[in-house]
Amino acid sequence: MANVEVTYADQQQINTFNKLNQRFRECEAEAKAQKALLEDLDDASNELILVDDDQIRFVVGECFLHVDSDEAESRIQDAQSEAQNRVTKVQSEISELKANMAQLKKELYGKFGDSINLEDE
Amino acid sequence: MATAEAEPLIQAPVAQYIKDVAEYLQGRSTDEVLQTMSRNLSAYSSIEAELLQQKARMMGKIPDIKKSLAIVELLQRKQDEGQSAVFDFSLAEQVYAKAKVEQVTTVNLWLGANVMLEYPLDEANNLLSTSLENATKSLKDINTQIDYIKDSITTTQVNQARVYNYDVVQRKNKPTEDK
Repeated sequence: MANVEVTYADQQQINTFNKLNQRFRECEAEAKAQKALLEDLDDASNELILVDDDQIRFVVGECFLHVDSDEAESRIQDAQSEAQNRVTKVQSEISELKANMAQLKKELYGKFGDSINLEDE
Repeated sequence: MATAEAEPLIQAPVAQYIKDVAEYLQGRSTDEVLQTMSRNLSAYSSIEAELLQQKARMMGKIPDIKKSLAIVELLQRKQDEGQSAVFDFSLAEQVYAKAKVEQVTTVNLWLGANVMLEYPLDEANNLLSTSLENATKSLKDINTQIDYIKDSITTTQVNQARVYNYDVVQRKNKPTEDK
């Protein structure tokens, strides 16, 4: 940065990049958590098929509700579609963030070259 | 993005963009300027840490409220359908007992500060929904403030680099006596 002047607009872009980067990391963590949840739900629904007992205990709040297997199945499906929706939503935000960050990277590296580092440590 | 209404919540001067480093340093010692900047930076960082802590607390609170809301909604539905529900509920950490719950019309909500109050189901639902809304809103506010303080942190870091680089260039250009 020694010989290139940092303009106000550049400063704004650097600030924006930093914020997007932070949000990006949050979204990735969220996507990971939701995917893990989806896997757990898949496991649960597979287990459900194998169970003979018609009374299933399903967690609601802090206790276990006794439900029949049909209701347990529909509850798992609800939870699955909710988690799936969140994954889809977070992933579309991630790709939007990626696009914006790539654009900012292009502009900032274009101007400052090696004098600026926008990569994650 | 920082918005105008988030501004007064943060008790620190906002880092300003330096238009012209040479002009900014006019009549000041570079060392002092750099010192002030790093002092500001650590002030911003501690505000950021505080905000991140608040955020973690909020993010822990929201699932708890959702859990409470889920069980209240279940009780409401069972009541509307006139059905009973069978629960295994926790007596101690690893001990559960079976209970048949029917015609529940009220629940006791823990309000904090050693107070528990009995509410009809629909009022309990309202109360919990409101706290969920409030928690979601304050999480949003905290995020706005974090973005805002982040701007100051980034600006200060860039300012430090610019002042430092300017100083290096100045020293290089100045012919030194021992050469």
